Amino acid sequence: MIYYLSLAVAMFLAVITQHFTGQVPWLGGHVYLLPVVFFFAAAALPLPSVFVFAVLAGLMWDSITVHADESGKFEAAFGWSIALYGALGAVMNGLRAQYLRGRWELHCLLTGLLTATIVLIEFLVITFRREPFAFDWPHDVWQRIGGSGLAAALIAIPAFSVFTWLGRRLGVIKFDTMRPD
Amino acid sequence: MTTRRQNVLSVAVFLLVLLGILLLSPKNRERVQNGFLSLMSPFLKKGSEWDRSVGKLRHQLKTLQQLEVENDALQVENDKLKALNQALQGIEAENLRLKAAFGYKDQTPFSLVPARIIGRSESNWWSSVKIDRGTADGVQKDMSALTPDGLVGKVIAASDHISTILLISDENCGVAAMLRNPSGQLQHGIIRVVRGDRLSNMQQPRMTMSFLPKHLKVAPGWKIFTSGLGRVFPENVIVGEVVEIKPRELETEVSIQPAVNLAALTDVFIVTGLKGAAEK
Repeated sequence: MIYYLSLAVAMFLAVITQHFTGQVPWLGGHVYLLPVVFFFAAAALPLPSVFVFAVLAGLMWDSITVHADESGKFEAAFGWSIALYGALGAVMNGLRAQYLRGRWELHCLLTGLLTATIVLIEFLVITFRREPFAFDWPHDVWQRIGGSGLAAALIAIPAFSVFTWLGRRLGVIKFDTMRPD
Repeated sequence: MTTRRQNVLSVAVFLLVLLGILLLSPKNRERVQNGFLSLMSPFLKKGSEWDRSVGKLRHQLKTLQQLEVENDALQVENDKLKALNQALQGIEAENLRLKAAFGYKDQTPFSLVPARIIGRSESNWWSSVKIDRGTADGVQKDMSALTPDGLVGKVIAASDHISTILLISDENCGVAAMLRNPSGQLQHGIIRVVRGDRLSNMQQPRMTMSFLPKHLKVAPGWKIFTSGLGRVFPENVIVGEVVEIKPRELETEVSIQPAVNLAALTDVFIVTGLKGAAEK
């Protein structure tokens, strides 16, 4: 229970920290920390817990990003991020067996890829909603999507190490290195 | 219960919870958002203090090469300043006196609440900042934010002690505005919406004013002021300056540089009303 609470607190602190990291000029995108913590939970914990964290992450994210436009209409439904996190978390959870064998290199890469997917879907949502829908996206868009993904993949390496260490210390994560591939 | 059954059950519960949240009424949705803002408030305030301290420290730390370049520049600057100093002594005294007498807050016709920026835009596609004032300080949704340099944005969410400001560089923040040529002459009858670009952000704010008459001889350097027609922003506050003209087939579009340096924003004023409006 302490471990689960620690991960929830880490998610909250990740949202706070994101307010200060801003856009990294040489990277071209914002640093997204919340997805890193969430995707760790999705890689290491059973599916029911992943959904609980998806609800938490989605609620936190929509609380700070979903607002009404000038006409009073909401750009996206409040809670849509929960569905997004739930679906992408389930994808990451599919590799849990490999994580439990003590191998999580692929999970760090996937964290970057799935974070970039979140940024891409966010852009698609606002583009559909705001109009006009443009098919020729400037280089800037791809740089922000790729930059945020790359940052997440790099941050995932130390973050996964720390959370794995904590999980093993608390006895929540038990590696089964004898499990066959 | 098998793992498969547990998973199926968890998916079902997840979908039910999701549906419940998606169907929240606007009032409850706002309550959740404000609750979360309130929860973040002390952490953002503390984080903002640390951020400022780290920023100051980072500013002070320089490499030897940087110091050498800076030293050379400072020596040249010093010589210039010595020469200027004599001439400016009288003006400085007058300036200080005027500053004290007409501080921006006193000078402006608006009732203002000063606020400090405690959090910056947290995502790639939305340009907003968090301030350390909320409903307890008289800040309400849809109030406008400005600095002595010009318009900043509008309040889109306000909890007890923290609020979110949507910056004018965001695509969702439309400002009804009018043009003034460099001699200060107003272009009567031309009121258009100034809007941020979809890819605009605090570092590279991009704004445009579209649908200007083709015959209008607008040029870089023209100023953009709020018209007050949208009823959100007060009248005659400077929004920015025309930097580029883009002639289209049927209309003219202009690119605008905001008057306020949004990337370096640290403090803002929230317009809570007009002075004397309460007495009236």
